[in-house]
Amino acid sequence: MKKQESRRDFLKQVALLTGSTVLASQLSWLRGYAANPSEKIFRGDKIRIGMIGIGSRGYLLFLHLKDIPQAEIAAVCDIYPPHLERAIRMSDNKAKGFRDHRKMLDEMKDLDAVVIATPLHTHATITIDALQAGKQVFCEKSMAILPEDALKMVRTALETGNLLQIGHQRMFNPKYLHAFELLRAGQIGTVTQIRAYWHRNSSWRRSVPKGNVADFADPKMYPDMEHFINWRLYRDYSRGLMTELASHQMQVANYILGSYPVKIMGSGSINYWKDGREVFDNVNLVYTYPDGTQTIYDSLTSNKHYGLEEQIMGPKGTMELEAGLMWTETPPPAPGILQLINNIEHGLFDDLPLGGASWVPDTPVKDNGIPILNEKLEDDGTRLEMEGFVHAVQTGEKYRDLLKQGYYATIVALLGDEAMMTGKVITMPEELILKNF
Amino acid sequence: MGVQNNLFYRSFYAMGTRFEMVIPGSERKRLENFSRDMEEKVLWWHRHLSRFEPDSDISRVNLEASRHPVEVDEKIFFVLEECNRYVRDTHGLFDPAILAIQEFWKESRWSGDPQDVKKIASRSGWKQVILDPEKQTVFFKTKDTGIDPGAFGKGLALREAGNFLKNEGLENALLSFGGSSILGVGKHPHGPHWPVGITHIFAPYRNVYVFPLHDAALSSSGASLQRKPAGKEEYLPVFHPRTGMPVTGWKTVSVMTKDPLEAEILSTAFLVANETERDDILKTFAGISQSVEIIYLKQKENVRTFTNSLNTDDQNEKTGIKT
Repeated sequence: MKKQESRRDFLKQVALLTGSTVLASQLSWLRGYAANPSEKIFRGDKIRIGMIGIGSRGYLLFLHLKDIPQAEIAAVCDIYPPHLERAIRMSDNKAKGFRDHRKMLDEMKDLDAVVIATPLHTHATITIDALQAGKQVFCEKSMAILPEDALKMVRTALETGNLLQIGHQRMFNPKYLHAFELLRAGQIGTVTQIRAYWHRNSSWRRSVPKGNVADFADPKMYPDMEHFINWRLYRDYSRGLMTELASHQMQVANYILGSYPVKIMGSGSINYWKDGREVFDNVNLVYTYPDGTQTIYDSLTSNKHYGLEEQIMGPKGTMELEAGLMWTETPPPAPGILQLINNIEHGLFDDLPLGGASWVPDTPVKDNGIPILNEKLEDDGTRLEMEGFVHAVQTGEKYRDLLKQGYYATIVALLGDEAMMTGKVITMPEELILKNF
Repeated sequence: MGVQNNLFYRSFYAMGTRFEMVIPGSERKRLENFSRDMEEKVLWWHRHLSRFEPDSDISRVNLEASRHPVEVDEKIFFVLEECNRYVRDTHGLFDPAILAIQEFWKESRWSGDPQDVKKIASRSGWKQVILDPEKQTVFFKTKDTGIDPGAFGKGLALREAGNFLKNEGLENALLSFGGSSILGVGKHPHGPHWPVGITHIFAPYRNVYVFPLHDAALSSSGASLQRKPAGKEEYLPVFHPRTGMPVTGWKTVSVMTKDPLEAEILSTAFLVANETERDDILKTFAGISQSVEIIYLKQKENVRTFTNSLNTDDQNEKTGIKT
């Protein structure tokens, strides 16, 4: 699908959603689209963006932003020269390159915003520096490697009055938005359980180029190139599956259940990739919400058969959000039976197209489900998320509810890690609960 | 599920298809309780008779009965004895023990050697099933024998559901197993019967024939549009139990009788029977109300009705739509 079509589809979907429901009042970042669902929602000059971290994820964000007419990538920053050089080249040499984000913030006072896609352990410092420098900030999930750092990021955003948007693209994905709407309308009844998983069969390890780490980064931060390149595998820099994958799905679970978990238990281990990594290669958790509903989460890296999914269950049906399908507990009426019901209700007596041979042999019951959205969208929400960020910078929106989503997604990912590391049942600490927010 | 405007509807999956009930009435709680009980009764048969349920009695029989006699409980043995009776009364044209033939055609992707299937047909079928009423056991004489009581199970479940309705004092209802097995109890709220149309296979919203169901069951058997390998003849998912060969051509047979189980047996048998065989069978099943055979020739259909089992003079043959 072309990007313009993708955008139009999104706007159409959002207009439909917000025209008939309360969803928009709860998801502030949709209101701008719904109020004026056309290309004219963007006003004024282009916003000038500095990108910090242009590796795999950052480069994808870079490509999306490069395509948005209202955005100008004025600066790029990465400590790894190959990534930096690629970004400068892809900006047609228009973006100024930096290897230190502080230098970029000092020298480029006219930047409106920054987009951060660096390793997790650097998010808090860079975000706080940028917010305090007066920039509007987009930071990839998870927010931070420590809960208190995530809290500091939120506080800094509130104190400075600047935008802090955390990268949870599912909140911009029309398939998810429509599913949220159906859930609120009671399509499957009260949600009684969520199961979410993300399964891969790969080491997550990247090949390490030759070289001296001191040429790229502070050697006090990274002892060698292995830690520099494969930072996701080491606890100084990441919480592995929890912060890189689980936080996405836990954000969805939190949003659907309208709260954050109050109790967390879990168990994780390194049972397959015994290659010196420090983060778990499989994680398994139970999150309990205030009303007793639970989200059961697991992620592993030694089997990909089941892929990734968020399964939402209620007494009337089931939704699988990644697949974009839903099922009802009871089958819907056959067309002929539906006609019979309508006829009886309208006092009619008429022949019914009901009977006939079964056209397939008896098979085990297999219900392929009903699509949540009929249109198939190629964008997973990332492109629209970038548009949303640009829109917010231009209009001055702060999207605090989206920040709240990002915050609790990070917190529950980190507390899940703590539960597994300590073997204890963790209760949501009072000091991490956002008050008056 | 629920009651709206004096009408109750409930549906659930059973026996590889959708079971639906439409019951005129306004006593919501009573109908809900009743429908739940009925679901339980139908699912009981599903759990015990489905060959797709690994723990069902039939799955256990199919797994073990070629090695040693398998003891089954009273209700399941009754089912097997009834199968035995209907195989006899249809002269073997209803045969629920031809799984090996089905598997042969499926595995050969509809291009198997007729000589091979002839051998399989000789080694499978109900003739290989031995029932011992004293010990209540079932034994298969060959490894190629396997029971698929799918159609039988639907008929039996509908029969029991109908009896349950009457015992509960509910006089009017329509029950449907995926449209191929329907029971009309009493009458439509705004008419003298339940007017159930047989839909055209190429135009599913057009009725080819309409049965007036009033305390009667309707069963339809027929062709599959999916079995159409390139350049091959179009096969039905129905096989002649004696030859093992697929039934060819586009044909459906619908039978209306008082008893849902008999309707199932007869629609299955009539699909493979020639005229002489059909007349012989009709002599045994005097209770039949009406049978309709529909042969599709390109986009037109040839509808033949047999309204009385013992009087072949009543046969009508018409080309075109009869509604």
